[in-house]
Amino acid sequence: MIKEFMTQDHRDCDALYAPLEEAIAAQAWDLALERFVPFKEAMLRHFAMEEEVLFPKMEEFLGGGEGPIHVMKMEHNQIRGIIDALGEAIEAKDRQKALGYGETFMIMTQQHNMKEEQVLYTMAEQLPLDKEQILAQMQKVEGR
Amino acid sequence: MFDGVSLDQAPPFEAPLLFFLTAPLFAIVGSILLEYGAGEFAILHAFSIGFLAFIMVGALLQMLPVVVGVKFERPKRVALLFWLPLVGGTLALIATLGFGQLSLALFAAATLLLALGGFALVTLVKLFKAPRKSDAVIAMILALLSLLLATLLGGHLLAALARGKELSLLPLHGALAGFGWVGLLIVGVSYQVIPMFYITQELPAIVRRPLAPAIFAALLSYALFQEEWLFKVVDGLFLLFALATFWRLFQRKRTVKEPTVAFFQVAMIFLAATALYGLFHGHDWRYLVAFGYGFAMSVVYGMLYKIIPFLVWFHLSSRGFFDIPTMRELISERLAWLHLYIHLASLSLLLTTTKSAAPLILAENLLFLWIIKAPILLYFRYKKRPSPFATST
Repeated sequence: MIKEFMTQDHRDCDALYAPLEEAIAAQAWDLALERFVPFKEAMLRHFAMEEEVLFPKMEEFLGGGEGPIHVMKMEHNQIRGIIDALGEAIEAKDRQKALGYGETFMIMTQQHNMKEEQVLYTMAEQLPLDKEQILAQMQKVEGR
Repeated sequence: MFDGVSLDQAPPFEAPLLFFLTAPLFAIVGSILLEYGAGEFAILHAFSIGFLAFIMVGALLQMLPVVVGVKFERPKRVALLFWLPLVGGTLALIATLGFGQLSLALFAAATLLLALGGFALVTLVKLFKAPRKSDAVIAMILALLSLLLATLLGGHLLAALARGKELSLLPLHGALAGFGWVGLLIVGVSYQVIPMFYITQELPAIVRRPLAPAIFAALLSYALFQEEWLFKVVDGLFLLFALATFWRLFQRKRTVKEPTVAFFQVAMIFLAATALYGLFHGHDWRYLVAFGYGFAMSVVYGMLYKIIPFLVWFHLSSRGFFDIPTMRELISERLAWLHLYIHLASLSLLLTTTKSAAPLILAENLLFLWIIKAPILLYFRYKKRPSPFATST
């Protein structure tokens, strides 16, 4: 249940990125900025759902420290950094830089999603968590 | 519950890089052998083991921790442990097949069994322990089983060669190595990387699920019964894969034109052409060239132009360096397009006049090394610097 929901959210974020990249490639900067805002919001909301709701619940069983959840949080920070750099490149109307950060964002995010979908969410499904409650709480999280 | 599962960051870049850098060198060796008319089996193995197997072992060392959460302890040492006998074995094999150095045949057999057979076994054991087996992982397992069988058959052939006996089982070795190991591994890796590189949908489950097991079953039946039509079943299945993947690439959400997707498209076109040629014409040397050079090597170049700059960026940014160039700045897109055109030219010469392709194959692989030089040098330059994380704490 968690796995399906979160995997779909990954796909929804991808779907917001593709048209943004198109606008950057065409140097339609107003349109790019217009598409960047909801894209960034969706990404940050996804991270918040994990960091505020799902991960703490999982850590009750797995413990904190240097484990898989710690690695996922580090990658969130890397991705946040690229998203900010991408936003700056769009504002500066720098096509090469924006496409470059976009490409880096995309692969970084995809390999991160893959680890979550193949391993982390599978763990979440197997742990004795109250999945319905977690899902309800995650849906209440708002992007910042 | 989660023994052996780790979400560690990818293995150190040096582990896959060692293999990625050796591969174009063997392709260059292959082009020289072609120019000087060495035996065709020596040339074939310079590309099949020297280029493709090196790339594939390197790529698996890189991908398995990320894709299935299985990792190798001490990855750099493990990499070297497979790399050394693989280099020695490939060179000895080329000497045996190209220059009649039969005294080296058993050495080649032993080292290649150690490197490729050992790698296949160790990786299979790890994959069987994976918590969840996606269709991609199943395809990888079947590819590694094919590698193991092909390596054993190869060892048997070398032993027969050394003792001057008849070379039976040669078609089976070729079928399992080319279409089982190389073909199925690319199927598995494509399931995994094409959706993530280009935001495509996965292949429909009705194709994706049964495809790799069906190819493997058809190959095994061919091995057992040696009926030519069974190999046409293999052709038909690869045709299905090529068309479905090409269609997905056509529908991809990321529409920005760039060379890596073109390499993948070229690969799928050549795979479809290979399969049709096999179905309606037969399985001769052109079939092998179109499959190996047109399909498999195109996939490899396209994939490496994505993976190498990403890994450089990933490892450096993980260490806290954020002032590094972006992925697109690390690989010259203009030169990567040029590479694609040279690749197509060498391919058409290989399929027609064959020997005249040698200079272009040499040029293409020198260009490849030149293009990936920038990200690799950047990696080692930054690696020497202290991590900003270390200085700030």
